[in-house]
Amino acid sequence: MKSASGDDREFENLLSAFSERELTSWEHDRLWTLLKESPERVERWKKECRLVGLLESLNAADVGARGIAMAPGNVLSLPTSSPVEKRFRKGVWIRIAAVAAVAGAAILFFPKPGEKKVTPVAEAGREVPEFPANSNELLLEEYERVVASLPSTASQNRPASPIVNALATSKTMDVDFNNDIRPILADKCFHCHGPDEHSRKADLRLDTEAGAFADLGGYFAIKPGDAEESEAVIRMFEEDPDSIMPPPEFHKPLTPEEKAKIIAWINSGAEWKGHWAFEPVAETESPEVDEKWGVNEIDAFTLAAMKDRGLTPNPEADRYTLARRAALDIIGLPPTPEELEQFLNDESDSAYEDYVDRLLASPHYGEHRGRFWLDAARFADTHGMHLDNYREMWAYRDWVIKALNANMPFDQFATEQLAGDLLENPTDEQLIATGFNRNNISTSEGGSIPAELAARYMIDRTSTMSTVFLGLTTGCAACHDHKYDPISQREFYSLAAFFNNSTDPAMDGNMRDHYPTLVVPKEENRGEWEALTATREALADKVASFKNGEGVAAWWNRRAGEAGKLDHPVAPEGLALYLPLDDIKDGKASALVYGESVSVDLQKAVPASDHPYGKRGIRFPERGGLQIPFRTPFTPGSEVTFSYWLRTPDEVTNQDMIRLDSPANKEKKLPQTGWTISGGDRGNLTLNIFDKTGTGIRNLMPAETPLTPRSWQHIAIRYTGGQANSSITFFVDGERRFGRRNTDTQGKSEKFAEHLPELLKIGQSAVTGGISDLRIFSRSLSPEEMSLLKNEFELRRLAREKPRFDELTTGERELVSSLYAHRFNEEAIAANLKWMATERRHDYLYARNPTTQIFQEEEGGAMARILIRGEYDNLGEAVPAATPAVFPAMETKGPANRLDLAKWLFRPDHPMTARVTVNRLWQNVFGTGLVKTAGDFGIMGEKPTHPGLLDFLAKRFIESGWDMKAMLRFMVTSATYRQSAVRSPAMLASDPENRFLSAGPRRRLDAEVIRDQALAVSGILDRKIGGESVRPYQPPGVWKPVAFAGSNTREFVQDPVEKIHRRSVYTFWKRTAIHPAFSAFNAPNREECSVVRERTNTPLQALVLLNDVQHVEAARVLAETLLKNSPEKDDAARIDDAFLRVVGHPAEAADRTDLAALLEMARNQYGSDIGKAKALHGTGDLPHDESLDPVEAASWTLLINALMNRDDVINQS
Amino acid sequence: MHVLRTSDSLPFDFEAELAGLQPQLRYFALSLTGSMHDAEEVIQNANRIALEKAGEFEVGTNLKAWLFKIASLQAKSFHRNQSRKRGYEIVDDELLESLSGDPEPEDAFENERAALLSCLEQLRPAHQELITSRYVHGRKVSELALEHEILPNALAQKLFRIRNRLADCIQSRLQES
Repeated sequence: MKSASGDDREFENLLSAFSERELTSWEHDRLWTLLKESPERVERWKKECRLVGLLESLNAADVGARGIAMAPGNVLSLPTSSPVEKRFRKGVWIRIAAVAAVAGAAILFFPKPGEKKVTPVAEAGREVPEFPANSNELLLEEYERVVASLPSTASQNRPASPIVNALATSKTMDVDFNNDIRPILADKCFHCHGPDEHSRKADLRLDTEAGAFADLGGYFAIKPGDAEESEAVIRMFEEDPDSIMPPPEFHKPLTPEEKAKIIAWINSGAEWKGHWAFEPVAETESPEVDEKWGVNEIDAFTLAAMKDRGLTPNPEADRYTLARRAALDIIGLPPTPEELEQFLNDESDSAYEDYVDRLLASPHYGEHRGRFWLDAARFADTHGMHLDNYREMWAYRDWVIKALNANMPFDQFATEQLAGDLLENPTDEQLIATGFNRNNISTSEGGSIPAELAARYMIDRTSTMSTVFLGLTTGCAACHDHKYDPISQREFYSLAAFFNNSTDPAMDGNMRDHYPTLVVPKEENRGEWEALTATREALADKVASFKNGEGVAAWWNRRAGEAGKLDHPVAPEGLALYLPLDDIKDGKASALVYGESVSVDLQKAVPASDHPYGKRGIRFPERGGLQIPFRTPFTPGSEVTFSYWLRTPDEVTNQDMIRLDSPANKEKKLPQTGWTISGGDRGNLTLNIFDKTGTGIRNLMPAETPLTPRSWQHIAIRYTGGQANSSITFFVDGERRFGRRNTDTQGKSEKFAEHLPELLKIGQSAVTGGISDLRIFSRSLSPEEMSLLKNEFELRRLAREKPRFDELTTGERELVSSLYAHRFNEEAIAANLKWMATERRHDYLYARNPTTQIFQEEEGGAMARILIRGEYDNLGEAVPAATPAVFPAMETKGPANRLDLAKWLFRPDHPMTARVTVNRLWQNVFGTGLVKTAGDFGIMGEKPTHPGLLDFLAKRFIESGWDMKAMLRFMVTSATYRQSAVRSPAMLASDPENRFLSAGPRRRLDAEVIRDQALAVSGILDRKIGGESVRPYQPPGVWKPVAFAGSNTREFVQDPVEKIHRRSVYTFWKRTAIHPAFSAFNAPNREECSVVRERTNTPLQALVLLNDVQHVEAARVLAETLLKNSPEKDDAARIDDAFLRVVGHPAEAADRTDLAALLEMARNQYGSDIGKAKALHGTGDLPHDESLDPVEAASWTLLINALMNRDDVINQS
Repeated sequence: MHVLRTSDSLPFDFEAELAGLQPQLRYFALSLTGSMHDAEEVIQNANRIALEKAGEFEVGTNLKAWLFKIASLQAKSFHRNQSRKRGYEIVDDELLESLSGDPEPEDAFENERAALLSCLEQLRPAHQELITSRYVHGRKVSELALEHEILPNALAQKLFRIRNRLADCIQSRLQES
């Protein structure tokens, strides 16, 4: 075989090029020719294609979860599927939608995949064209062309004599620092001359007054009153690319207008003002306006702003519109016909206010308002990374709904969520609220580094708090000082410290109940659970009372010697087997099996030489093992505890370190029975118990906290007899390790004990490793007993060396006291055994009752290490919890904690919390916030359109005691809100986004509201409040492609019909694949905090509305209702009914004509194809009425479906 | 029943299975056409036909093999059309046959994918970033070349070298297990 011939080289070149660009047709011909010549090349070619395929199948979540470097972007914001998957899913969805209903025809449509995203190069806004499908020379040409087309900043935007022009222009300008100058400085200068100390150039900082006006050694960057003597201005007009500011390579040249503004500002005296949002909330009076318009103070502010811009307010909307608008904003549902009727017929002056009050009192208020909060709190039903398994968290969601319905003051609402656990004697409800801090995405992927995950969780919790309460994007400061806002990296970690002091392990174990959790018992278990908890507490107190009692010291002083000669450090109740391995003679050792002494042949085992506690233990230097006749006490419902010292092997292999087992029937190809304890290469441990079907239960101690290699450690494994995997617990060196329960399925059979072999095998298939002091108990042991077993030899040493109690250290006293209680005091032993007897019931109830993740403070003050460049393993200085210096100082007694943080946020003089909160509320009601960037009130955020109004509302909110319902009521009863939303072309031209509010709010409804509205108007909405999340209709194939094998949210199983018509806030939220009808309408994936939902228009939305089985079913049910309930009515009357019901106001003549024509068309179409009519009439899981004429039912379904697609139905206006 | 669809009669989730096979279909089509652009055409046709003929698929048999069979037939007709246009035959059936290859274990792709992920971890961060930009985010070589200030061909070479390294690594990972 020729090596590296010319042909081979050519082939390699083609291999390097084909995936990166289209080959030319000549190259294609060569490729095929070369392939034909050699089967090796064919193999090579297939492999290369496969590798490219593998690479393209990766998605950002896989990659991000493993810490693989990605191009700049927020590390926590992980797009979840690869381009290939996304494209296909979209295809399926469209196709299914298209086939689903109305047209009835099977339209097969796969979108021709568009080009992958092209990002603009530089701000020229030009896209880099695709590579030409030609030769390599062409590639080069192309490249040069693209480079040449890039904007040349040095020569752009320059008038003939720029400085003269700028000076002249500046004379006509009236500029304000905050409005005109700071935005320019922030955008064009702060990157190098801002708060970030590390990237600051020339030691010049322009974000502070002192920095901007500093004497730089005889000259000034900014010399007030004299632009021509200001170095900043001189540098703006430099010719030399090395001197001009901003530097050309920064690609952010100043425009002539910006230069003129800066000159105008300097020449007018360079007045410096603080950033508006960091200034205290001002006492504002509503402006005096002469017109007689308006209901409350809001209107005076908006009217003044309108007048400034030559706008006039719209007239009030009609009652139908108002009724629908207010209901959708307050409860997220359209009014019922009765509610509408009551309002329309109310002739009193306060009819509208009374209507609003009725809505505010509705229990649906909390569901709707809570939904916005749940976006911000990033609440979801799965962990979000890797397996994306189920996370049980819905009690938190229900807490939010309940708190809002009770109109809990916002400060309390926030405090309980941020720091409920730190309140005095927190209630269960207050603990549930702390789930706010546990809603972050998490993972348990093998190979993840716990320290890295912990850092990411901490950063996410900090960023969420900052966005929600401070309105600041502090996330940037995780890696470096903030580029624009005055938040240094040190300050970021001081804030993060508040959230760093938590007890949740970094790896979530893929469990529904990632520690710490709170059990929220079901009604039927509540009584037993509470009683059991009380009993257990009492028993534990009793054990503790003996432990901490006075008798301990006297006992130790008198009987330490006796304690030192103990056979067992715990009560020997239920000891089934004891193999100490401390008396090896002639390859034999003795064991105690159910009280009888047995001699054991050690076979290939040799005495261990490195046991930390003297000459004991055996090692298996090679394959082999030993056997002891022994029937393990696994009987239905039995409890078993294993305790032994394990020596991990010298060589890390992927085989078992040492294995205890009793498998049988393996050879006969019968299902395996018995049990095994095995350990793998990553230092994990597994206990498997097989039943006679060959399946059973298992629990794996994951590699997150692996066993230490090449050393002895104490292992204890406890099985509490349940059928759930969670009934198996691991302890290593006396410390509990959290097991992984991927599936948490119940064991299939109660009878796994029936065929248990009567043999114990040690070491069988193990390669190397050692063991000593094996004990098997037929009872559960408590964590304290595990610790005593671990410290057996330590206790003996203490008995020898420190026989006087006062010689013992605190830790040693603790141990000795525990020994006393568990081995010497009969009452304490009895209490402990009783306590352990409740363990199984405790596990049983735990496994069958909902839990919710809560936040818990670790002991010790809240601290964090600065992560240099944001790298988890690059630890800098340790900083205590503290708040950024730009805000009012925090008051604390002692080290600051989250409760102090919460109190600080709600200080009446805090400039952010109230402003940010009322702005979000305003955004929910009016569509856009007074500050459009609701999550960024910092320097790069947008300024408020109505600064006075924002401060007025903030003050009012604080003074009302943070009353959320009152604030919402204040907004929706204003005349501003009540205006008609109809806008003339002139209005559209002068204020395209209606930011100055000369018309009422109009916007597309949110995803959930659209679905809920369809359910409500058709009468199928299930109005039950709260409970477990539900899985309504969803197109098939949405979950599986994004899920890993082994994920418990891989297979979507729809809930039964009686559960699927709940409000959307209860829909199961799988983070890596949210409900497609929600994502089509811009719902966030809840992987991170989100306070603004985008509103985009895509064809998918129309397809959802036309074809989603939920929408079609709703239309079908309403059609049936209309047909059945009013058989006497004619088409015209029914059209009127349907219209009012769905659209919310009476039909007009044109609507009637159109709808009658549509009905006629549908009747013709379905009349000629009964099959289609039946199919449409049968849509959905709700029973359909067979007695109805399918053509009629289908035609009316179509008509109502069309109504549901109307602009004024999917929009609020 | 969720929605009316062609494959309702199937006792398993045909579309989800099909969706899950897309990444594999993609590389397969690429190997049969040698061009991303042409591969898209084969993929579209194969998917369309698979969905149309879903009812003919025998549950319990290998869906991947079935789908790949459809795709190779599509590739064959694609090449025939090309040959007709060009006036001479470029890819004959024999070559296509050898490109289509033998069936493989069902979890092979998943295993390789897992191996790839762990191999990616071994790369230098700069290389990781390059690979993710190119293949995960789907950025173009021309854009990346501008950012890295090298010629696009050089960047393609660089990617090729990194891919070779990954290929070796995957190979050895798979042999290990």
